[in-house]
Amino acid sequence: MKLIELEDNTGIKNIHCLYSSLGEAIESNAEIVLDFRNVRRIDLAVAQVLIAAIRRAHGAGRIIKLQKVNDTIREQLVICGILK
Amino acid sequence: MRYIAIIDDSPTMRASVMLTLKPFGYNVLQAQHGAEGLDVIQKAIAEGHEIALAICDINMPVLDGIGFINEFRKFDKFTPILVLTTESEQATIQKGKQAGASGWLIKPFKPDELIQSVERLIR
Amino acid sequence: MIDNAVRDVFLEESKELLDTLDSDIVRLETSPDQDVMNRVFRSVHTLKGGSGIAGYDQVYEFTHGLENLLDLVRKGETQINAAMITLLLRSLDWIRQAVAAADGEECDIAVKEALQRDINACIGEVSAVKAGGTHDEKPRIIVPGKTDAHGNRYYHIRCAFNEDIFLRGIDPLMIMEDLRRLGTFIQRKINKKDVPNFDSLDPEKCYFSWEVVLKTEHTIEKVYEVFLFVHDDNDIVIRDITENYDPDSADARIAEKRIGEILLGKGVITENELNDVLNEQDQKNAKLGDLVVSKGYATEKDVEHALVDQEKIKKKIETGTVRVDTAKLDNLLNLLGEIVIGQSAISRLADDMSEEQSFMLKNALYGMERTTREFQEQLMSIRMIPIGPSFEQFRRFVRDVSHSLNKEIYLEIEGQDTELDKTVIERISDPLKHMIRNAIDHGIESPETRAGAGKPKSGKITLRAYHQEGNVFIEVSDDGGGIDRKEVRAKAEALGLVKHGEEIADAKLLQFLFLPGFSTTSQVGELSGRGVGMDVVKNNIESLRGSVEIETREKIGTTFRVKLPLTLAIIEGMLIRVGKSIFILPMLSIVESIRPRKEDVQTVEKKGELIRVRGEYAPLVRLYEIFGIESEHHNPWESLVVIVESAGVRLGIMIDELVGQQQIVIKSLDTAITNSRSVSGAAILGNGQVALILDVHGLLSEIMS
Ligand SMILES: [Mg+2]
Repeated sequence: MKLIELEDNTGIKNIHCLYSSLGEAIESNAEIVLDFRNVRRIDLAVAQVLIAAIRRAHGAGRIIKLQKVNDTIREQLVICGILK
Repeated sequence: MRYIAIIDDSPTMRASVMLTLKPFGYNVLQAQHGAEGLDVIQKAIAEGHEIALAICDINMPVLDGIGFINEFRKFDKFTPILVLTTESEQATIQKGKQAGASGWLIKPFKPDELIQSVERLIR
Repeated sequence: MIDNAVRDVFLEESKELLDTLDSDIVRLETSPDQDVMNRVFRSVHTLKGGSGIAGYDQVYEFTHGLENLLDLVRKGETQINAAMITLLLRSLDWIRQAVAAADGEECDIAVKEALQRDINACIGEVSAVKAGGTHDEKPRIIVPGKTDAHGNRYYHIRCAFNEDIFLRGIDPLMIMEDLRRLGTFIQRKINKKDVPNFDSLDPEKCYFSWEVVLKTEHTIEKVYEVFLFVHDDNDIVIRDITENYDPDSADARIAEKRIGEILLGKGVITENELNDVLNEQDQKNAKLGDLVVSKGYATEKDVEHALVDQEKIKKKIETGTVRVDTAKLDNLLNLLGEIVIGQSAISRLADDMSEEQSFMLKNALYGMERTTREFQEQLMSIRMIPIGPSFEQFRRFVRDVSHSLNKEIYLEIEGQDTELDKTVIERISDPLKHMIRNAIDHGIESPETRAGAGKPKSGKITLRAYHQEGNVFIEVSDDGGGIDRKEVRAKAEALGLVKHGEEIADAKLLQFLFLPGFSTTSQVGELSGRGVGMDVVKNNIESLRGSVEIETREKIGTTFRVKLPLTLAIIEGMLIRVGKSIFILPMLSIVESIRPRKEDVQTVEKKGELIRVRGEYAPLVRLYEIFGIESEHHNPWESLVVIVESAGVRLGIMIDELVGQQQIVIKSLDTAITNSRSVSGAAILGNGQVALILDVHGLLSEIMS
C-alpha cells in the first residue's frame, strides 16, 4: 500500500508533481491511497490526472482509494464524473 | 503567503482594489505600472510567496498592461490575470486574452463586481 | 469607510493629474509632441477611472467626453488648435472645482454643460450630450425566457474548453461549479473518454468537455454570466429548452440514461454488477452492453430492449426540434392518401395488361407501396406523443376528489412513455377523468371499510398504458371492493335487460354499466352514481374507434380497460362489396367470414334476425337495407356473412363479396358524411370511388335500439 498525501496547493501549477508521483506509485503498488486531508479544493487539471490514473490502475488490476475528501472536493469529483 | 497583485497607474484605483479585497482576507501587493509589477511579483516569489492573481490596468506608463501580461506569462503560465479596462478599450480585451489574460472588469466597477470577478478566477 | 478612503486618495491623485495636465496641455500649444499627447490622454483616462471609482459621477461623465475628444486628437483625426487648448484648460478648471466641491454635487452644472457642448462641437457629435446620464445605467431590454409552471427554466449547455485554457489562468471546474450552483443538473454527460491514457496525458492540457441540462429559475443571461470569461473563444453553446420540458412528465426525470442505468432501473442487473462492469469498461473501452452479456448479468435480449429504451429516451431529449402545426401534418397525411389512391389506380390498370407487363408493373408498385407505408408510419410517428403528461395531470385531481370524500387515495402511474396519437390523447382525457372519478367515488371503499376488510387504509388507483398488437390499452384500476354482480344483475332485470334466470356472460353483464341511467349504487353518491356518465365515457371512447371493458373481482378491485387505435388517421381495412357499393370494415373488428346454412338463420321476436355462429346467436345486418342500395343476394344462406365483434358482442354482416385488405387513410373523420352512427368516416378508393367506413359499434347500437 502506498499513501500519497496531497499538498494543500495541489493544482495546475504543480500538476507534474502529482502526475509523476502517481505514475511511480502505480508502477509498484497494488493499492494506492490518496489522502486529501490538506486539500481545500482541486482544479480540473487534478481531476484529469486522477481519471487517467484510476483508469490506468484498474487496467493493471490495482486500486486507487481517495480518502479524507471534504465536501467541496466531493462535489468537484461528482461534477467530473469521478464520484457518483 | 498568497498575494493578489494590483498593477495600475492610478493610486485611486489601487486603493480601491486594495481596500475592497482586504476585508475578504486577500493580501495585496501593488505596483504603478507593468515594469514595477514584474519587479514586485518576482521579488515576492523569490521570498517564497505565491501570487494567486494579478489584476492589471491596460493604459499605464513605462510598461502597459499588454506588455506586462506578455512578460508575466514568460515565467508564470497558469496564474490568472484580471484585466481592468474601460468601455473604450474593447479591442484591448482581445489583445489581453491573446497574451494570456483570464478575464476582465470594466471600469468603473462597484466593490462587489470586483469581488465577483476575483472569485471567478481564484478560490 | 472604503469610500472615504478612496475619495481621499482620489483627491490627492486628481490634484497631481490636473497639474500635470495643465503643463502638458500648455506644452502641446507650442510643440505638438505625440508622447505628450499620449500622456495627456492617459491622464484624462486615469482621471475618468478614478472619478468613477471614487463616486464623482459628474466628473466621470465629463471626463468621458473629454477623453473621446482627446482620443481623436491622439489619433490625428482632429487637429489641435488654440481654441481647443483654451477649451481643455477651462475643462481642467471645472474638474478641479468639481473635485474640490464637498460632495461633487455643488459643482457648477451650467458651466459643465456649456463646456460639454463645446467639447461635443469639437467632436462633431452634438447629439451625444446626455443630460445627467450616469455611467452605470445602461438601458438594456431583457426579455426573460419562459418558465414552466413551477418557475423553472431548462438549458442545454455544451461546454468544450480549449486545450490550452489552463494557460489562460482559467480553471473550467470553477465554471462548472458555478453553473451547478445555479440549479440542478438533470442530465450530465462528461466526456471523460477524451482524457488520454495516463502515459500519453499532458497534465497541463484540458481534455474535458461537458454536456448538461440545467434546471434553474434563472434567466439565460445569468447562465451566460457564468461563462463570461470563456464563452466567446471556447465552444460554449447554451440553448433554452424549457419548452421541451414538462416537469410534471417523466421526461424531466429521464436523463440521458446510459444502458447500465436503464438495465439497473429495470432490475435486470444489480448496482454491484453495474459497478463491476463500469470498472471494466474504463479499462477495456468495450461496449457496456457487451460486457454485461459476457459476464452473464443480462441476456442479449435485455440489452437490446435497453438499447431501444435508450433510443426512445434520446429521442425525447433531442433538442434540435422544429414545431409543426398539426394541421400541416394532417395535410401531409391527406396528400399521402392521394398517393396511395394513385398507386391502387395504377395497380388496377396493371390488371388489364399482358401477364408479363402486369407482373413487372406490380413488382415495381410493390416496392413503392413499401416506401409509402414506411413514409406513412414516419408521418404518423410525428403525431405520437407520450401519454405521461396527460396522466400526471390527474394526480391533483385524485388528491382533490378523494379529500373531498374523506378518502385517502394514491395514484400510481405506469407506462407514461407509451406513445399515441396527439388527438387521441386529447380526446381520451375526459373519459379517463370520468372513470377515475368513478373509481374514487365508488370503487375505493371508505378508510373504515378498508380497515375492516384488512386492507391498507389508503386506496390505490393505477393508471396504466401499454401497447399491444397495434393498439394502445389504457387501464384505470382501483383496489377497491369490486363491482357487486348480483346488484348489477338485479338492476338489469329490473330494467328488463335480462330475464330472471337467464344466463348471461360476465362481460356482457358488466357492459350494462355503460348504458344510460344504469346505476348500481342504492344511495346516490355526492358526485355521481355508478353508471351516471359512463354512457358518455363509452360514447367518447367509441368515437375514437376504441372500446372499453370492465374486469372486476370482489374485494380485490376493478379495472376499466380502454382499447384504442394508435392513430385515428389510418386503419387497416377490409373492403367489402354490396351490389355496386364498396364499404370498409376495420380489420380489427372482423372475426371471420362464413357462408351460413339456411337453418342457422332465425327470426326472433323483438330481437329481429339472428344468425347462429359456433353455437351462439348474433344479430344479422343487411347493409342494403340500412343504406337503401342494391344487393346481389337477399338470402343470407346465398351470400357471405362477415362476423364482426365489438366489446364482446358479435354481429353478422351480409355482403356480396370480400374485395381485399388495404390500409385506409381516413378522409375527414370530423366531417360527418352521413349522420348515421354506422359510419365512422370515408375513404377514396383507387378508382376514385368513395367508400364508407363502417363503425361496428355504431352498427351494433343502431341494431340494439
Ligand atoms: Mg491606467
